[in-house]
Amino acid sequence: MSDNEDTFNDSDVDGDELLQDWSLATKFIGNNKSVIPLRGEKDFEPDGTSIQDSLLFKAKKVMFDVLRQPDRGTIVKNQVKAYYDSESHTAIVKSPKGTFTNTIGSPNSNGSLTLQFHEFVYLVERGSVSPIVQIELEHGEEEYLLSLQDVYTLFTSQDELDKFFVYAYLKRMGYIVFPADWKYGKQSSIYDIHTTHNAIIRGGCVHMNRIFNIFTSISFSWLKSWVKTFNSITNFTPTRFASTSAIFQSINNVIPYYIPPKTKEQLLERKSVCNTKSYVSNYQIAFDVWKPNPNFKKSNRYLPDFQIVMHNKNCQNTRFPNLSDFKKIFEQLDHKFSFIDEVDDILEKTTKSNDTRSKTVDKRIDKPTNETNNVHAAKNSKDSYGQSMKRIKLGYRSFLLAVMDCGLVSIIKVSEADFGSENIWYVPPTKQSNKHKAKRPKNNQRPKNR
Amino acid sequence: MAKRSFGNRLRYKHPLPIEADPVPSLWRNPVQALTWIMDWAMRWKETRIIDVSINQLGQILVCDAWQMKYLWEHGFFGTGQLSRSEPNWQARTMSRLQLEDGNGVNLEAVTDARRRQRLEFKKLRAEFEAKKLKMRQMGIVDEQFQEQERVFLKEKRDKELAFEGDLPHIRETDLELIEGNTVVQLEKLQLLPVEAIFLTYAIPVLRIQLPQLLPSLISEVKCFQDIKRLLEQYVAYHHYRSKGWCVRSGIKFGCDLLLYRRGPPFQHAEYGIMVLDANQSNDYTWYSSAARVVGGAKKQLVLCYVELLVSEEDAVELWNQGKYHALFSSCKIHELLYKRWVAGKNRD
Repeated sequence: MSDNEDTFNDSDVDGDELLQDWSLATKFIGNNKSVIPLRGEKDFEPDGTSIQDSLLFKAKKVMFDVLRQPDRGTIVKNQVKAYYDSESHTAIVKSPKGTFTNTIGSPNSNGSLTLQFHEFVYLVERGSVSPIVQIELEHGEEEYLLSLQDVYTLFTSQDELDKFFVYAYLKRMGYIVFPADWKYGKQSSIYDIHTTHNAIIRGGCVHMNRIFNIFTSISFSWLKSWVKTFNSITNFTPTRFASTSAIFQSINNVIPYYIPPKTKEQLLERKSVCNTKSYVSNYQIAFDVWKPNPNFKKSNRYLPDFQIVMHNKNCQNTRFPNLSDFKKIFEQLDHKFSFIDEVDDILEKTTKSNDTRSKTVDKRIDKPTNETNNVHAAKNSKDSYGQSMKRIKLGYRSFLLAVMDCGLVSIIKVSEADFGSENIWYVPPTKQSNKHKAKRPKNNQRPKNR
Repeated sequence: MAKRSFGNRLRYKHPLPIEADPVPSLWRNPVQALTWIMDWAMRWKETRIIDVSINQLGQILVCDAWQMKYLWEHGFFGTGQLSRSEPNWQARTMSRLQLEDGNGVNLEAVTDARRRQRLEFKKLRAEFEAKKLKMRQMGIVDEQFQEQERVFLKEKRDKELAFEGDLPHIRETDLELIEGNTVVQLEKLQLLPVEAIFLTYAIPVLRIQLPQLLPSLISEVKCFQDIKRLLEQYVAYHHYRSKGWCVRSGIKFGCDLLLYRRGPPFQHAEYGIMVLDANQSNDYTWYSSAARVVGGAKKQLVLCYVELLVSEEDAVELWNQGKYHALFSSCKIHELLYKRWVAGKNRD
């Protein structure tokens, strides 16, 4: 099977040390004839000639031209006042304007916008709002403009500060971020789809399915494992095996393993079990995160792309999550799970390809050869091997853990994996199929530098 | 490259040290088929064919040359004590002393030759750079020359590895090694404790039983802490082996186990496994260091949690009573993928 290497190519190489290429941004400043070649840093080492200098000058000029562009940043004229309210620890913008309102703040019925504290600090740092405190004096109210330092002193806890760091970091990277417990508007849930109008019908189907599944699984597993049960009853361990798979099967089910939910039905089932348990977790989801999207509506939010859990490395009374902490976090998750689309896609594709295949078979019905069948079978087995590898690699439910260390953020992605359900053992070709298989390596002998 | 050749495919045909043989057709070869069935039922075939010895240091060793080769070729078990991993010291020494024709290409030689070639390539490139600089300083920009350079260097890089015969370099002490026209076999194959347990309990090929093997690994079991580490390591090892992965020690990449799809000659390891106890929680630096090292070698870090389904006392009891199967089945595996997340690379 050509060592199955090319079946799943990993292009996800750590490339965060890439150089910023400012020439890409020149289209924003209307200078389309950028001439800077994208090469390594070495191009800017001094070598005694002016060629390097001129290249460096050009690159710098492009960078500054982009940075100088007036459309970026805020214009003082557009700045609005945000009034800090110490009682609720929020800020209010009385007459909100500016594009930031699309993805920041909770609108009130009187047209004003309530900013949560982290949003407030973020906007102050950006220069989009001016921080104001109203103080009541004898002769009436007076407005005081706060400095950035003043605003920083208003943080109430380390936890809040950490959350602000993560929020501001993701915002600056372009993401849309809202707290996970944000009450404003509507946000869809992965569990919604099943609890709407046809819940009863669906629920019924699930139950029917379950009963049916029990029967099939009992009979099927019995059929599959009767040799095993027979062996274990009579304490018989065979020393001779008809196939490599049989050897693997004989050692396969010794160690039990956890199987994460993989379909919507399984997620729903898991949810209903967990709701009844209702435990307390030390780790709560702090933020819902969406990839940048101009069509995002904060009043009607679709499923978030990521969810963030916070952990401060230096805090005395917290620790890095252990297995049960991780499990509790996974049960709380409610965002777009990529594996669910994946499954749907695969189903769709297979049904489609089945259709086309049956059509082609119809056409060629007069000359069905053994060879084509074999090729198909080989392709299928290779595909399923690649699919297995892909499933292992991508994992299932996942979340982002933002680890804080004195203001530095490090984000990791933790996903559930399932090696146990994918048997990937190599089956040596048997003598009958040797003729067919021995041919194949010739095509694959092309050497590859790895 | 020597990796991925067709020869390897034949040589490492069997992924486990027991070779399967299909049941002969009952119609064509009725006698053979019946013998097969009788053989299966009566268990005539002996699978325990590998002699194993445990020395004073507690090393689990296989000494016979054929048996060493057999264990390596059938699933990549053990490590040659004088080699990188495959026990090929004897062959290497023989080709060094030119006692046989050098067609026995070993991986160490391949790596060595590749490193030398890369050095040569770097030297050439430096020469070109120097020449280019000189031209630039004189104010000449010769596109043709640069193109020529690019093509030449690319050719060099793409060039197939060729093996030049090394001049034999014989030391005085080498004479002691030579016996007739071969070299004395000094090398032994050392098995990891988990490999030894696997080859005794799951795939019974070692001529030893668990009750004899285990006391040499852990002399006295008083509390669960004594067996915890070995138990967790073995459970994880068995789990991945039974799914078809080739599992080897992860010491070179700062983790517990490495998973190969088929084995070291075929491809690089894909996953680095850290085996943890279900309640374990280390400092974040521990996870981040492990992930960085494993990730730096283009592998994915997997946190493999082992949860004990019975009480610790019961586990010790099972161990001491020799109910190993029940003990191993009362450990549950949970796996998590651990990966760094970079904000700039996940926007679309």
